[in-house]
Amino acid sequence: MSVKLILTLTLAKLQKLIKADEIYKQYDEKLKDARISAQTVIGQSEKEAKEVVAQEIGQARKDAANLIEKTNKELEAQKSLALEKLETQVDELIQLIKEKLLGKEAVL
Amino acid sequence: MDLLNQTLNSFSTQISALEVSLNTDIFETNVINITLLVGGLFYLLSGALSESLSERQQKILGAIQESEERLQEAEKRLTESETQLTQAQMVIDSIKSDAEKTASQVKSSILTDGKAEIERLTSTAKSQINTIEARVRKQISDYVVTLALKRITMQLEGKLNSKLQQQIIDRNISKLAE
Repeated sequence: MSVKLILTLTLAKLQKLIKADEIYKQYDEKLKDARISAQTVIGQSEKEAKEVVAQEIGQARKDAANLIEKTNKELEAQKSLALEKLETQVDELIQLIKEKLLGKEAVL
Repeated sequence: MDLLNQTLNSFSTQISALEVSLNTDIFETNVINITLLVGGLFYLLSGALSESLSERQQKILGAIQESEERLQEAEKRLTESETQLTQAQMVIDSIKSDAEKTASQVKSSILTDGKAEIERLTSTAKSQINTIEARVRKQISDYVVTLALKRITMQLEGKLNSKLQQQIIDRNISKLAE
């Protein structure tokens, strides 16, 4: 009688422990899935942001290089024009230098 | 093998030769002695037997109690597991919320760094343009000065006699005096 009771109690205990273990496994599995999902969300967000930034930095580099090239060309063109224009104005400058050097009377 | 068969046959013959019957002679069968022996044994062993049975009873009761306690522990653990599972959704929501917050922070941080990098690139480009502008200005200035000096030198060549040289010196000395 007592052995049967002990066996019954032990069996009930084992059933409850098995059920508890199953429930714990379910809980653990759910948390594991949630953590994996969380990591995926963070990773995806990081990847998207890096892609956007890489694209924008690439575009900015391209724009900067284009702007420098354009400015260089414009300045070279302006330099050529300026030198042509100054060629005619150099005589006035020469006159001024001579006046400074020799005095107005001597130059005249 | 034959020897074994012979031995068995001999033993079987001896058994069948025995006569079994009930002996009713009290003195011959020692009933009184046996009764006294059994009584003495019962008297001597009853205490020890009782003690042994009591110990056994205690052990069984202890085992039952232990089993009940373990069952209670198992029930408690099951209840805890069930509660934990019920609260799992809350924990999962919390993990999800934290992940979204972290993802937003990571994204914001990367975008801020990217913005700073773009600003740095823009600043470097502006600086390069300023350098190019300054270089071109200097080139123009140098060219004009060189050209002017070249022409002056050509114009003054042969004209810079001692009188003119003296005139320049006097003029510059008078400028110093001023």
